Amino acid sequence: MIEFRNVYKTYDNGTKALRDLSLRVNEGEFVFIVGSSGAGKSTLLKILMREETPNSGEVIVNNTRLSTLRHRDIPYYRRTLGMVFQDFRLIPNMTVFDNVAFAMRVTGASTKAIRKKVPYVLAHVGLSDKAKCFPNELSGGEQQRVGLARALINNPALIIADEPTGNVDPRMSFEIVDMLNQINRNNGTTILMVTHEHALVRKFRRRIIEIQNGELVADSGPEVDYYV
Amino acid sequence: MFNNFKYLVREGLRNMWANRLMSLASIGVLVCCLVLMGSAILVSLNLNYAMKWLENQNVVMVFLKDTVSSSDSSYTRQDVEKMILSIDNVDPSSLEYVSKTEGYDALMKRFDKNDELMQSLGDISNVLPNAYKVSFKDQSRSRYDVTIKQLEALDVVYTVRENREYAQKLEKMNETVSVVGVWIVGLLLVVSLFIITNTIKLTMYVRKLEITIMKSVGATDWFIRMPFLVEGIAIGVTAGLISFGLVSYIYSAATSAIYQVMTTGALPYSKIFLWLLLAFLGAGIVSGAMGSLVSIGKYLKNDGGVVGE
Ligand SMILES: Nc1ncnc2c1ncn2[C@@H]1O[C@H](COP(=O)(O)OP(=O)(O)O)[C@@H](O)[C@H]1O
Ligand SMILES: [Mg+2]
Repeated sequence: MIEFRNVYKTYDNGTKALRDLSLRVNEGEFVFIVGSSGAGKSTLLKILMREETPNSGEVIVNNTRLSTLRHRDIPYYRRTLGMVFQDFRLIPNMTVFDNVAFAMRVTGASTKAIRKKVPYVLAHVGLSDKAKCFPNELSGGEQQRVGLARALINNPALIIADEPTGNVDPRMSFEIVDMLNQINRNNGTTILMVTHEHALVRKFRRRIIEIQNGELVADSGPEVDYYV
Repeated sequence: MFNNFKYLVREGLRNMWANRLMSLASIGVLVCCLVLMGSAILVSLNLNYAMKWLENQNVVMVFLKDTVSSSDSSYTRQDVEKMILSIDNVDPSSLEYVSKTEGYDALMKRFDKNDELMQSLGDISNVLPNAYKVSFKDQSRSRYDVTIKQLEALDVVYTVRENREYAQKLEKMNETVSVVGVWIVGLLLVVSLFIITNTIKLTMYVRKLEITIMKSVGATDWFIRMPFLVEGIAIGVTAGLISFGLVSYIYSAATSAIYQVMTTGALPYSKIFLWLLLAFLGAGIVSGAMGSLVSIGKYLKNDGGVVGE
């Protein structure tokens, strides 16, 4: 599903964010990525989203070598991923419904399909009654569930979440990770989640990858390995 | 695709409303630009029109000395006409006598008899001298000037009024209008660019977030551009229509004034309004679209997010 082969990333200002990073994540896994601040976790996810490109090494996602993607291919690649961010990244002047619908609209989905699918996904994250609200009328936990709904709307095979519980109170944090856990169990969606919260990691007992100074320092190992 | 088109147009108009302060500023600046540019062009077109009209007239008024037309004069009308026709470039068939009263009536036709100014002047029917209207056979520059000199040299002639003189004056005016117009428009363009880019900068933070989000969910460059483009075009169309209305109003007011004082008249509004409308809409759309595309261009080049840049 995901493969990093000897990936190096140095930013323009000389910061070495990733050094010789290699890892493999199989389809259907749930992986926590941990490590102290500045370790290179977000850089790893940005490379996966094709927001950054490595200086050397190769990244393969779903049989696509990311280095072969051209500028105009990138939007189509991103539609196969679901992304969740710490700061939610909701469009402030769009309602909850429109924020979720937006991710479907960019794919060229019909209004009819949108009207059918968005309420279904909003119900799934427990926000049916908030569809007409604007983001600033919601709590952090609710906003993140909107973000989760948007990530789910196009049925991605892979969900990437960068500290999704960073701005959410602890009880809601648990619920959000629980939702991700359910999605992974029920749909087989592969999930990569960066987090600082050890309590969550301990509670859910899934695969853990630790990064320090841009290097992989610990890996609890694949949960399921189809290649064995 | 049509679904998306409708959505993107709606989105653009919604953005225009959401950023109505910036939209208003942009529309205001564009209207100023368009109205001034349009006015300069219209003045220039009308001066050209008047020039052509005057040049095509080929009519020279030869005014006679007052003493010549008085009853105790030593010249008869036949004498005067013979003298004028002795100049061989004068077309004999064109010779036409205009008496004082006829000249007065022709003048009066262009003014309202009940006009306060006219009434204050009292009876001016005696002020105008008698005159002859003539045309020339050869209109070439050199021959024309010589013939005018010959007419002026005649003993009975008080003065010669020729249209070419006016045409030349109009040409000078036209040049001045063009030069001044170019400077004004240039200055305005710089000012408007400054205002528009600054207002865009002010609202760009929200936009940057939007663009980042659009990109992260897989929107293509054109999908991101479209609402901006629609917004720019809508601003351009609005500015174009407002400018068209303003200039139309000014023009019809100005031309009705012109008709009262100049025989040349003005380009009739019915002949130019379609061009005016098209030109204003075109200029508005092009500048609006360019403005949006330029302001968003640098955010699309990047593959990554743009928030915080
Ligand atoms: N756009 C950037 N330009 C320069 N340096 C960056 C950029 N993004 C991140 N870095 C640096 O790269 C290192 C890794 O950052 P990041 O991947 O965000 O770490 P983490 O998410 O683990 O906290 C840090 O030292 C950070 O300062
Ligand atoms: Mg980070």
